[in-house]
Amino acid sequence: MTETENAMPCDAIISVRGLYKSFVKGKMVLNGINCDIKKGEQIAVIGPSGGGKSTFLRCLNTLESPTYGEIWFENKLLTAPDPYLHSEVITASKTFGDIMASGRFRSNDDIIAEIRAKDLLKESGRKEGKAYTEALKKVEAENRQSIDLARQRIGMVFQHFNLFPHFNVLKNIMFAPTELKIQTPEEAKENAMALLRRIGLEEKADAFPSQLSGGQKQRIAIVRALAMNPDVMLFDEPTSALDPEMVGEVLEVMKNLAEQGMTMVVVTHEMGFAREVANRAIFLDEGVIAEDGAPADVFGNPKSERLRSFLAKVL
Amino acid sequence: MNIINGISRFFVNGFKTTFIDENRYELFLKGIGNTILTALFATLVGIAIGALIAVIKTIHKQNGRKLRILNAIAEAYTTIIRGTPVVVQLLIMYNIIFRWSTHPVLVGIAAFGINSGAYVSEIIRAGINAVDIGQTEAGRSLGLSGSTTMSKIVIPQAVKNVLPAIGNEFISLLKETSIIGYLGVLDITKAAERIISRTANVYFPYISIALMYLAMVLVMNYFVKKLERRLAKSDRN
Repeated sequence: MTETENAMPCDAIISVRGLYKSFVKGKMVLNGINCDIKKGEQIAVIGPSGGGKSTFLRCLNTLESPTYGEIWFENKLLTAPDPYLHSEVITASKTFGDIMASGRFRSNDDIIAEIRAKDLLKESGRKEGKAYTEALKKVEAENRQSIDLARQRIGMVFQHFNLFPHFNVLKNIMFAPTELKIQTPEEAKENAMALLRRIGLEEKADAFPSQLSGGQKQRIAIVRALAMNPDVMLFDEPTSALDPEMVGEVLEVMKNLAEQGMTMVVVTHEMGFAREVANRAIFLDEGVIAEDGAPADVFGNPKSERLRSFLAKVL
Repeated sequence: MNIINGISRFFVNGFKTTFIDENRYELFLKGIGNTILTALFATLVGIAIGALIAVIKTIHKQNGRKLRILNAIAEAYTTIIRGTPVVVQLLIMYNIIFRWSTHPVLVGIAAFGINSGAYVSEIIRAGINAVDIGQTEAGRSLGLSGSTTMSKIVIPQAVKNVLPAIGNEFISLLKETSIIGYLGVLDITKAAERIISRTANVYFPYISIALMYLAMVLVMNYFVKKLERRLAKSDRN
């Protein structure tokens, strides 16, 4: 894994460190991703299907838990600590002691590099000794935050909307803030109506999701996430399940949100949107970030052959 | 004319010996009481056990590390219960496990409840599984805890899915209780047998109890259908 000394990030809202994810043993969907998402960034994640875009996004709020690596949110750890990312944990391991005793390496740093490069730590933490498990526990105790608290600050919008069908629109929006006692029912209702006015759907407050069009559902879903006043919004192909004539209204809401400075990560096939609205574009291919930069550069001046052929296909 | 006479005499006599003589209708009333009592409480026991097993299995399936031992017990339970005849379970309960008990009705309720729990657990589990995983993800992504998401988002949708099936489970349990006579409990079937042993007339008592079961099932069916319709209507909302 890569150089990640002092895994704690600074000014990033979300920080991804050495992220690997596999669903089936031996087949990595994400293959070592390091990425900082800073406040005010609107990131478009593009790439061929099967390239790991959605998995990457779903790892950010740990709907998928990483196989290796760490996710940090506002300087708090959301995942179990990854021993390879903490040198003080590696040095506490038996493996480290054994290699040191063998005298093959001169400095501690060389040993740590060797252990990282060859993935030498044992699967079972207990086999690495008590000092190791305690060092790992210490990292966890100092940094880990409850995932539920973090998710209250990370909004997410799904491809298939996932509105709650047994609640009406108003209750869909109010439910989480009131249930979590962040807002009183009165505040939550006022807030929900204000949000509905913003997207022009206040007359749908009493409707049930099954009575709405796809575009309306997705706009409500965006507003439901916004009701929690999140610091960052994740969008997982928000327009892919929509009829073409409804794509525009959803993109419009997202565009407004971007103009207000919301931090956003958007997995999308809408290249126009990625180009115009985003201020950073990430090209994810075969589980790694192949290109990362300003949309003008990524779209206008692709460096890799893969991205060139991808753009040729979709533009 | 003779034939009609004969038939009507057969019915009048049959009715008289089956229901009127020695106040035999009281046997049937008691029998109906025991049958409904057993079926009702066994269903409640079954729902309680079934819900517990379903939640254990669902949580274990979501996260293989959780509840490993409880899940193994639950698996063994459903395998054994669904793999053996209910009569055998009833006899084992009565003659071995609850040998000390002097309340055969309670033993019957326990046996049928434990039996029904295995089937109800599968019904409830299917109901939970039928709720789109996206519902759980949406709930969790808003910061709701796993248990809140389960109880306020998933279960209400699952209950809607399974209520009619649980009603049907109650109906089949009502019929299954006809073997509780093995324990000497006076249910409808046992009532008929007692009367036959006195009158030696098999036709009338057996046909009568068949009609009694049928009537009870039809009434239950009516309510289950009504429930189904109502749930379907609120679905369209």
